[in-house]
Amino acid sequence: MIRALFLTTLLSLSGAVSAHSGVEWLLRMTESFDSLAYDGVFVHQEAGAMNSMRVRRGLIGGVEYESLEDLDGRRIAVIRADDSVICVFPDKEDYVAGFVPNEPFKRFQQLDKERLEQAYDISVVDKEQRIASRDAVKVTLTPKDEFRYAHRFWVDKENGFLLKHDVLGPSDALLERIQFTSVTFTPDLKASDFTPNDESYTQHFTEVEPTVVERHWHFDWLPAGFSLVWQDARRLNDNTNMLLLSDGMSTVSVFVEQTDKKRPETFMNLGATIAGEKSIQVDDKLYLLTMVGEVPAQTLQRLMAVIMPGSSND
Amino acid sequence: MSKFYDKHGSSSDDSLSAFLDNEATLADIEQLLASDPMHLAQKVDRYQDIHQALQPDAEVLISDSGDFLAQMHRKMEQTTQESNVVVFPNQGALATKPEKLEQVHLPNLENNAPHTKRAFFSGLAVAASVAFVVVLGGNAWLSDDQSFSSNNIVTAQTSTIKPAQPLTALSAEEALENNERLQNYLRQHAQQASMTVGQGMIPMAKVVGYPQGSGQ
Repeated sequence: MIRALFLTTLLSLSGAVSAHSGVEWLLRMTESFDSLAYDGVFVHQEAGAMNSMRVRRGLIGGVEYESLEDLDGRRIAVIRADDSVICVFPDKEDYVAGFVPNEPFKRFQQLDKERLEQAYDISVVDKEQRIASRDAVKVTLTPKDEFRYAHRFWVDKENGFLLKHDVLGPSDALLERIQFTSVTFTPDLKASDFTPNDESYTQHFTEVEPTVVERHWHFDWLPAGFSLVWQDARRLNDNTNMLLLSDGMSTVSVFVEQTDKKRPETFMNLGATIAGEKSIQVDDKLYLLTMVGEVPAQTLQRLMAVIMPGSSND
Repeated sequence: MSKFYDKHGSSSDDSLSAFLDNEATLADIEQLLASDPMHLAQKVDRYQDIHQALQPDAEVLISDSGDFLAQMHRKMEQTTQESNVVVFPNQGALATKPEKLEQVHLPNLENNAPHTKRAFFSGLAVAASVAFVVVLGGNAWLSDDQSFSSNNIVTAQTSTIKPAQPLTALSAEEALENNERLQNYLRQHAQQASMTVGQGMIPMAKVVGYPQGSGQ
């Protein structure tokens, strides 16, 4: 927090916003989500579908609140109050057991400049930008190879907040977009704004330490910049472990579970998100491997071909 | 058996002909599964009539056109019985040193190994009415350079993927099968992505925005 405030202050005082590098703007963006109070509406557009969402964050009575609410359709919301997360389902039939994530969204990874620069050419577009009535700086991440997508960020010139994010495929085809339509950084938020009404159906979660288990799988190859985020694996349940790969911008989640049914290799995608699954047999045990990530299909296919039993990649 | 073509000669007709000739490739079957089943059944009936007129003593092609889709599904299952499972031989305990990649039997990326249309994320796809796309093809997507046209938002294809088909032929059973597991994985992924890329709760938008439940 202190670092974020210091950085924000430093950049505000400097006035020469355009002089900052793309990485510095991305750092500001990351810090802004952890330091600013905000109340905004954004549109999430992916695979021809569009949803408007409201996101709010504020420090109220010493408690850090954050919420994300679907404004269309079923109005499911996720509310965080410090380390507790509540999912709110307005209607009983929408209630989904296990919807609450295992961990809240508080602990952001630090931006890894070296890894990002291995994978992307990062630059700042020297042109006036305006998003949601805010002056913005456009930062482009152009992939250095075919194993990841391009990203375009528009961040608030004053405070670094993310105002717009495009994920682009080959030929700059737009795969996914998030764009704020309105946002205020002086919101009048109260604790009651983060309290579900009595008639809604809620699911509560209080953070516990994730179950860390020995990792039994490794990759014989990884795209430049990608590495395992955790050196161990995370146990999701008695049968499933999770690994996580990242190049600092794109992430690939790897789920390995024991199974008794062989499945053909399958790939599917939704916008920028692709998923693949295949069966792997090790001795007399059969495993179902599922990968989900915002990477091109060929990246996932190669990763699925080179995942091996064993625990190197240390 | 000779092939039958109607005057329109569409690709689905070719696929149907190949299927009736027991020469259908996976791509043919995918093409047929994506077609209107009633339309296909009518074509089968028509082909059957022509076939019977030309070769009265020949075996019946398909005894019940209403069973046509079921036969295609069975054919598809047969086609995908090939080696889709990666076997790591003589590995011993998992923690032991692994064989090198070239020493194990991996999926055949050098030919068009079958990739099957399945209900992956299907519950989400059906529920959200969005265009989940099954990516098919083996080596083709690693070597061909074929991009897809786009208007505004497009489904994710890289310049090397082909072909892709909308999930129009999912059975309800298939749609239900993986839904809960895959939704859970998508949530887990979005949650971890939110912490990795530093955009607050925003990466969760894709999860919160999806209608939930498997029966929609």
